Amino acid sequence: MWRRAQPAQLVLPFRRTGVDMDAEIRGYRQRWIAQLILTILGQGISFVGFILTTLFRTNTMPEKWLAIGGFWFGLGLLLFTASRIAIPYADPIILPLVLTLTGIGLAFLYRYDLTSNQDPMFYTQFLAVAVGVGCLLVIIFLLKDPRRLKGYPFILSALGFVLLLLPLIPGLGSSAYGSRIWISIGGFSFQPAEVAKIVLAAAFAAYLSDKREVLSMAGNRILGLDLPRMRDLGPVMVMWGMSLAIMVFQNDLGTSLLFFGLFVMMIYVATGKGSWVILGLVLFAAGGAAVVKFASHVQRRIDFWLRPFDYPNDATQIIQAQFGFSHGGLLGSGWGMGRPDLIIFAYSDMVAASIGEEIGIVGLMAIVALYGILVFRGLKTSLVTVDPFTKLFAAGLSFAFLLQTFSIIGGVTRLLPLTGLTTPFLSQGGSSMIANWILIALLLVMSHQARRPHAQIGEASAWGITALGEESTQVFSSRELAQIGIGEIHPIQEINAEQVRLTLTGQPMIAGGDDTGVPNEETTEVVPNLDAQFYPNRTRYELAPESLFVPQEPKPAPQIPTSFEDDDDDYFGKGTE
Amino acid sequence: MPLRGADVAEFTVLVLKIAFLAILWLFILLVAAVINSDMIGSRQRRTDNVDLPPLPDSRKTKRGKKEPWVLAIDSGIHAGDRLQLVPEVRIGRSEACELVLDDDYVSSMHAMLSHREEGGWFLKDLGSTNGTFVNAERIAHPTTVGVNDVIRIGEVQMRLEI
Repeated sequence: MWRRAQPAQLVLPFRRTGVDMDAEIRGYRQRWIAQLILTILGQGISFVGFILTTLFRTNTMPEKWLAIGGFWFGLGLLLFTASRIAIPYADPIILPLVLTLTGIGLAFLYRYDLTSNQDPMFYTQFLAVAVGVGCLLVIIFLLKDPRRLKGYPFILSALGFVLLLLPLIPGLGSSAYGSRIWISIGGFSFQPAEVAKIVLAAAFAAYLSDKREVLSMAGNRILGLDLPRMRDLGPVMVMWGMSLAIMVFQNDLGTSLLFFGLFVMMIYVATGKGSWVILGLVLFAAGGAAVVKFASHVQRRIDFWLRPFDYPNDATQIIQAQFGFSHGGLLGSGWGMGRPDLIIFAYSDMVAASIGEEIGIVGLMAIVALYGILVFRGLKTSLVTVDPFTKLFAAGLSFAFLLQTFSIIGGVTRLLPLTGLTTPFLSQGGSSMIANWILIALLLVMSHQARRPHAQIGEASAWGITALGEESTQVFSSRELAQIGIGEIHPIQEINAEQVRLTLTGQPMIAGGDDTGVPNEETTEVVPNLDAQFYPNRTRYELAPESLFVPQEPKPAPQIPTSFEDDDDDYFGKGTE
Repeated sequence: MPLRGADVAEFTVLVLKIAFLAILWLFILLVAAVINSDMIGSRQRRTDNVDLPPLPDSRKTKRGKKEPWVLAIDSGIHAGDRLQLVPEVRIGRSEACELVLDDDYVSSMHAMLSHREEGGWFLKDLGSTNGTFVNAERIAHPTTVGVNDVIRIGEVQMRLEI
């Protein structure tokens, strides 16, 4: 038997910082018309680029343009239809953006093949895009709940670190233009960082969603800054060591920045403490400075970046890219009218420079804007998500994408030392294309989960707090409980580590929804207690261990003065002048 | 020099490449419009449209005046919220409070808003660090608050509403 504890009254839908209140109050619509229009327009843009190439060069339509166009728009239509079916509430902008970028990359590869004497790459790349889309479809249909990835932080971390260090294994890793961030197996080369960024974002999210309370505890206060406690520095030092190792042994600042930055940003998101960011920046700057001083090959890369024209034989790529931009100017030379054949790796490392030459800085800025909006939508997904793991995972994926794009486009435009990372969706290369489609698929699933209206009766959910309805079991996530209007919610009656017994009385109302049919009487259910401890502010009956076993103390009686008149404001010292 | 189709005049190339850039940026504008409507769209789900359960009997005073039973939050992280009050609302950062304000300047048990049986609300500071303000004045004693008073706790401003 369990004791009946003091009823607590839920006053309002409690909300936490960092939760998108719009979403909680208003909910999101399905935006299929917007998505359709944007898909068609985005695909059309890249298709126009594809046609302009041969139109400008030879005044003809491209070979097999109807077939290629058919496949291209067919792919878009397939994606559109599948996303309507599997993830109807997902962000309507992400897919069109990705299709636009992919299409511009494909159109550029088609154009590159025309003037190169290498094997044509366009069709292989088209196939890689199709495989990437296939992976996306599998994920959006099969992975209904991204939280499934949560259970294995250490396996995921180990996998991520192994992937990161793979290129250092002799015989397996291969180095290209100074960076050792590729592995090649049987003629296929592959950049493990592409997969590692997804795996590590999941690992960090799992770890941090577990440890964020601890990590946000303040330690010493130095110069007005609350530093984290020394004992919590372990993981960040491990990441710091890893990133310095990548800088020294793989000689790639971009990869190093990507993974250390990813970790630091995710700690920041998890704890909300700016001191972690400052600590990370200081560590990275100090470590980087030391490495540059003592590792001469790293120093050389910095020299190539700062003074490329002093090293015409070594910094060729960077110099060529600068000439390309200069030739393109503001409006670009026009599709097919530039000279990407002069740039080494114009189709992979330097793709932003080659495209920038042909569509000019105006076009390149548009592409940067597309990346920016994509990252913004990813972070928005993180904002509207309630579950901490998913929230961190979405933020991590967005940051990884952001840092990667920033590193490579920054490198190409000489804002940063050049890195060998791929440009997502633009670079030639199957592994990068597929990995980034998987990343997008995960974001879309999370976006759908976050934006869809909740509390669908009878839907199974492995977490949350469950109250038994009249006929069917009604499943509430913490968000729904936050949205339940006024009503008495009794504190936990009985608890063990695995389960929660929640009694709900009153008429729960889901924001914007209909009457849920839960009768105005007590309902009780035993539910799994998985994530509830993460929502301390949300509901008063929360599941912190100390509050679980002890019934909540009755509130102290308010000290209401016993004698006053209805309008006697003076009593309270308000207008005694 | 790149090959150039003899028939495509340089002018046409210029016009077409500008047209391409124009549709590229138009696409971005359209995306921005969709984002905008995503944010401000579907206003129908405001909490204030949700039917609230019946209020306590003491909603009307003896003289039949209507009393405020809603707390409207005007600034801070909960801005825009309208909260149905219960007769006794502890405000603070602690989870034990009825109104949890996640604000750096709010103490764990900051203030209490209580309803008197005779009608009317009074606000009492529970020994907070940064004080409780009514109409920009820090209160020292329990203070009656009505619909015209602005309550400030930390960086959160709120008002009673009927």
